[in-house]
Amino acid sequence: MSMHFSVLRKPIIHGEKTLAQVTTDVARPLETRPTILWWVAFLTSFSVLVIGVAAVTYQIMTGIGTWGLNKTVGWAFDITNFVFWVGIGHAGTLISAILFLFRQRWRTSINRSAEAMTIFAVMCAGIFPLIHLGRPWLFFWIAPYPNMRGPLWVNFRSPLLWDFFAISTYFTISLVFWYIGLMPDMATLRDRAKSKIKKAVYAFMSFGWDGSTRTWQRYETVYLLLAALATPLVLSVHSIVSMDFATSVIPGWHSTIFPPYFVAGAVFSGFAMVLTLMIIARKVLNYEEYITIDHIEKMCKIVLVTGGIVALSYLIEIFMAWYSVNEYERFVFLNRALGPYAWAFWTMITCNVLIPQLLWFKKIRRSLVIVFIISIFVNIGMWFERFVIIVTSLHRDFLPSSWVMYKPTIIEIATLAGSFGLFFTCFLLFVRFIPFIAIGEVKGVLNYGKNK
Amino acid sequence: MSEKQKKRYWKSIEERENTPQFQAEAENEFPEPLPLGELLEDPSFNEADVSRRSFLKAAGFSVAGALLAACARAPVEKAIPLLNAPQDIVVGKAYWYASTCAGCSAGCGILAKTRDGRPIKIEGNPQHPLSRGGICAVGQAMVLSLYDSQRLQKPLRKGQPVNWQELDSEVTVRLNQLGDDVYVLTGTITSPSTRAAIERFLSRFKRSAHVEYDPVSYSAILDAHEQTHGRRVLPRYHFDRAEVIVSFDADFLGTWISPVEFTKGYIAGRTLEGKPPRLSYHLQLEGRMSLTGANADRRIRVTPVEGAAILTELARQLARKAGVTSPPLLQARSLSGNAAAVAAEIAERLWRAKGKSLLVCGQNDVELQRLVNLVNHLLGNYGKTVDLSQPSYQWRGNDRALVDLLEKMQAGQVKALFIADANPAYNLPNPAEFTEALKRIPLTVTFADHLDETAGLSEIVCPLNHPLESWNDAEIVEGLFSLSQPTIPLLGDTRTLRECLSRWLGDARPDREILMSYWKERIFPRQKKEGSFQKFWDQSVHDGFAVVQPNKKTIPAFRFASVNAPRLQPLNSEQDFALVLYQKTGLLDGRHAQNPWLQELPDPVTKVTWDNYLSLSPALARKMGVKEGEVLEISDGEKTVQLPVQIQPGQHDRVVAIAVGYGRKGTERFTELGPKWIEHRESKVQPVGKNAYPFVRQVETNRSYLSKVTLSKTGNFVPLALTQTHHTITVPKKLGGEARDMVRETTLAKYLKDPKAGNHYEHPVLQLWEQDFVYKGHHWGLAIDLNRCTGCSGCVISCQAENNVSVVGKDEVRRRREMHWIRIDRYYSGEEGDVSVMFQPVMCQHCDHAPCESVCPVLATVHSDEGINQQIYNRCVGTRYCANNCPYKVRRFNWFDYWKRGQKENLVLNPDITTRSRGVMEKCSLCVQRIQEAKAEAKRQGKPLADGDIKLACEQSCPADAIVFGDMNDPKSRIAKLIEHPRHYRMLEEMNFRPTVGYMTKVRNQG
Repeated sequence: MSMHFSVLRKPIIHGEKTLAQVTTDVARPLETRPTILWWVAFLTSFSVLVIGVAAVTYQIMTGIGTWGLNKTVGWAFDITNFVFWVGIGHAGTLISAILFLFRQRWRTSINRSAEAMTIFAVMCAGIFPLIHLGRPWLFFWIAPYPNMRGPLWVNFRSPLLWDFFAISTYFTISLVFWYIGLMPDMATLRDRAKSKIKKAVYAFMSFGWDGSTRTWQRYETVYLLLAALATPLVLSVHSIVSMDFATSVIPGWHSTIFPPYFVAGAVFSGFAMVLTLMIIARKVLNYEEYITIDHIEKMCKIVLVTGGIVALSYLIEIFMAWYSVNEYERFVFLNRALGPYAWAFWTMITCNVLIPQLLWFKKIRRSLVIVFIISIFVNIGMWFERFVIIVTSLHRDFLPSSWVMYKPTIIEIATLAGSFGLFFTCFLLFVRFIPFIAIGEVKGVLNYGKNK
Repeated sequence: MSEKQKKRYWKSIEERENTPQFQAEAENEFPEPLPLGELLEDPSFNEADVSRRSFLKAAGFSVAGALLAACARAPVEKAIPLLNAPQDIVVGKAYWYASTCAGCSAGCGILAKTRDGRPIKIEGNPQHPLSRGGICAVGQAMVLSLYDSQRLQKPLRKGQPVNWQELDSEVTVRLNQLGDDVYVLTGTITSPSTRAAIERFLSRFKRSAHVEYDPVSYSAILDAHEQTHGRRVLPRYHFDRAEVIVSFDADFLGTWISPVEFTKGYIAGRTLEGKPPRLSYHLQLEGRMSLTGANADRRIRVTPVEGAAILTELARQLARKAGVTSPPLLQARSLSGNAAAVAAEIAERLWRAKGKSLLVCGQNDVELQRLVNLVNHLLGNYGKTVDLSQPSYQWRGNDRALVDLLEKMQAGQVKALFIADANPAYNLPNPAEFTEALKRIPLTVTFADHLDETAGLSEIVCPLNHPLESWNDAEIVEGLFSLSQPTIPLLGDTRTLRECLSRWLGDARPDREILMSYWKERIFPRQKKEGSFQKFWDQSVHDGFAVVQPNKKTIPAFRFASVNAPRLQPLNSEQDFALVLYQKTGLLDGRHAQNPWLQELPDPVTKVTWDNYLSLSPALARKMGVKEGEVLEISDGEKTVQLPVQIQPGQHDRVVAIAVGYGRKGTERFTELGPKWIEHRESKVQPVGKNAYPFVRQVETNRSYLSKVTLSKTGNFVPLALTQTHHTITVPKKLGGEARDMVRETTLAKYLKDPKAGNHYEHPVLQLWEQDFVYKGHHWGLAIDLNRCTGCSGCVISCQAENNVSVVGKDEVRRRREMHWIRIDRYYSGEEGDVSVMFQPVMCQHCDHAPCESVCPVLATVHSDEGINQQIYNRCVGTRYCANNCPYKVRRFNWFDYWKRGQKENLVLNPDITTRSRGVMEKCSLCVQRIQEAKAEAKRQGKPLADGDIKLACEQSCPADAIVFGDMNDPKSRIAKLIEHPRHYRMLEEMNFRPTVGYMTKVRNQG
């Protein structure tokens, strides 16, 4: 049976895979012993995580004073990291939910890992609002629950409370969505498992999947519904996170453009992180035929588009600062560009606006090394974007008497590193225990672009 | 029912059946025998050979272990009901005692607030004729020094604690053996009864004297008056009567002679509310930037020598105007262009305000002071703004007498030296010389509160009472006697100087009786109001002072012959700089170095805490290529000291300045202050700052606080602990360069034309909802008059004492984490050379549309229905969102646990206010405890709250009466009137935060 390819549609999966091959290919890393490379990566990530845990423990025991914050700059690394990780967490749900609804079938190769990334990123993000509290052991006071402390209730006007709802909802839905998508694959693994324990675990996790048409039909209904449910969350989470700033009165924060600007930025950074991870993973895990150069190119295009929105937002902000004739607003932007933190601002501009412009060129989009480097720059740039928004707005606001400088302490740097440690530790474990590619879904697109 | 049937209950079949087994078991209810036999039979148990030796070992270990465990400090919690309640004391109620401040010898009247038997707050006594309710930062902080754990508790003999009986008998015996040549060296003693005791004590000996000296001496003023007027006294200056004030290097609003009294007077001459509005013209000639200079209408930068030349020229021109042709003056050199013009301008100003002008000079130079006297005489100021008939006794130091005493000591002519309230081993220019001479004296007795530099050298150290523990009196100005009464029983085994000296004369009366008898004999007869002494005494104790008939003395005619033109020694080399030594508002001459509140008080002008430094002008810093914090070595040829640089706009380019009072023994302990963690940057244990007294020079009879120094780089760097790092209201030029409108000022000329001058910032304020909350009851507000505020920072310490604001230490201040609820923002404007300065006290603005309230997720900061922005500490989880969103940046966060348990110093805590734990936000509460107390009291008395019933801590003690608190809903209140005033504005009004704290435009007497 020879294959005929459509003139218009290129196959998504290369290598003329059979269904069985797909299963074998995807399950291979789960059924072989980990490589030395994996061990090196895992132990490094885990050590960094341990350092982070030590830093956070020390901070909670000693006080927030172990961070470089002061009377004027009340947030810096903590909320920067928080927004950064929430942003990273955006790509996964976008890929699995929005692209699903838009029938972008190429998403099947990357949705599983991108969603996993989302969950780990949101986990990393969730830590920061918790540990940034002066009294973290009282974090549950932010939750509105019936309590015995008199008529005390939470403040529904506070964006931090909205954050609490937004993040917890997003995390829950993402996790459920991811898990539902995982069930057929769990069943596949169950069926392939040789050891009893493995079989039992996968059997449990597959919820008794039997592969019947009825099961598949139910599954797909649920998946579609969850996709529809998750879609508004992709937009809402970062909109709400941005309201932490937008609803405040601080020049540089108080801006109505923040919700769309933040969402675009989040997708931008999320896809950059997906690119970073995929370019390595496809090589190391031998998934080059599944995650093809076309996938990379498509993601590059999304990065380019969202990067464009981000750049436009920067321009609009600067324009508004000038157009508003508000001396404080104007000052903040001049101070960002020319003040003591100008280096951070220009790092942000370089990484987020200038470097991604290279992606206009097809050659570059299809060059793995260059795309990888660009994706790293975007990650750095997006971290600095949040740093610039938070620190440069706070450190010099209305009253010049209160202007100060902020410098992170080693505890803060260790905490940031620790969050990366947590992220990569989780991701590396994911690679070992859960199929990196959605087997069931990829099988559905094997024939894409083929004429039989 | 006749037959009583006995019912039988049973628990089990066995019981009912009463089987033999059951019977056996019932008898032996716990049948299991102890398995002791088994154990004993166990061969391994018997084999375990416990020798007597090892048994004793184990027993010993157990006992020792138990003992060690018992050594751990277990919390002792005792709750003993107050069975015998003290009379007239209600627990939990505050009592106020009138007393006299002993922070310096200016003698301001104070009221000490005691709660449950311990003083916790000091406030100004509004009835006191001199200070009229004002009190400075130092006075406020005196309450903390009472509880200083390092205060001496027992007398020492050769460093070993002894009891008073032993000490008394030893001193008495040795005095009898020594015979004569006994000297008493003290700081200024304003207490007439103590002076009498010293006199009485010394009268026993031939060749004896009481020598008084002040570390920062005013001796030249007294000496000059002795020469020009024939009386060695300090005149009383009436700044309120002066329309033109010219001050040459006198920081009379900050530290000079009696700053609170002078601030009251100065502000009285600058009230715009009167009709017609008064605004004196204040001109300051100085080299460094003093607090007074910062408030001047015009400030001319001069080196001390240039200033002296201008002063000479001024005297010459005024003499010409007055038609006095006194030969020595005319011989004075004529000055070059600019200085002569300045002198002419000042002369003209002063001459126009004859009899209503005042020239003061802060230099301890008798030649200059005689010139000042001449000028004031020519202007007819004596008897008007300068009062010699009722002079001041606030400072009595005599530099000459000190020199004589030192010579006698060196010559071995002193047999016994009693040092009280003085620390010559620290604050004399050559402490080594003094120390050496001290060794030649057979008997040295020091009266001190700390084991300071001098006390450490003397054979016998007598611990002194804290002023808040003692009876005392003070004659501040002629005819005005202040009284001090104890507010707490003695915390240590201490005495007053008066009591000690009396005892050694065999007079064993308690201190109070000595004082009372003095008053009965010497002061009571000088008044006619009260018939009986007891009534007079009671009234005086109640008031805290007594006004009696002054001993008026005629002032001899002015002796022109005594005045000569001062010899000037200008700076010759380019490398030489004029060094000006000055006192800082908090530490003064160093006597308050042990007080952490004052150490952490930001200097009103430089905003530096916890250090002294070398101030130099920006132009000089640029020329030398030094940055702020760079350590320079300062040398006058003989002595050197290394200090970090502080760049001071407005300072003369050839003048450098260092504060005295630092480098005190005992301040090493503050290295330990503040939280310890891995990035804590204070590792070396050393005193706070460096001692600058060695640069003081003995110039003929007076000590001069000016010197000539050279500077050299060391390459080291010490970051200063600043609380304000951006110093202008203008944003940097490359970032827009616009001046912000938080501080507003205008000139008198413009103000007279348009009272709203300088305050025209009509931003449209749009309301989304009209009047979204109506304040039906009270609506508290605060107005701060920038025209009155001198920036003295008294309110900062007052607030700290009232609200239990923690001290955080140098490292934390460097991290910009100071906790003060009220801060004084200081902004420079104009060119960096001739800057003008604005001060603006900023505390929580209690916005009616508070940005902090809407963002707190846990409702830890909410608005009261009286308009107060409240912070609920125990609800706060510490997101710091409120502080970020505060446009005024007045919220303070507890980054660490700043409070330590079990410190004696904690006795100063106000029990009405909780201390805040770590992770909690805090800020100004508008002294809500005072509002509540006043409301409760009004309710108890059944009458409505009157305006002025509530005085906030910052407001109460403000020497300039710059802060007014009240109910904005009460149309008759002072605050309601001030809000209507054209000078009134609110910070960031256009943002619609609706702050209830407002400010009043500053008006300068210019143009």
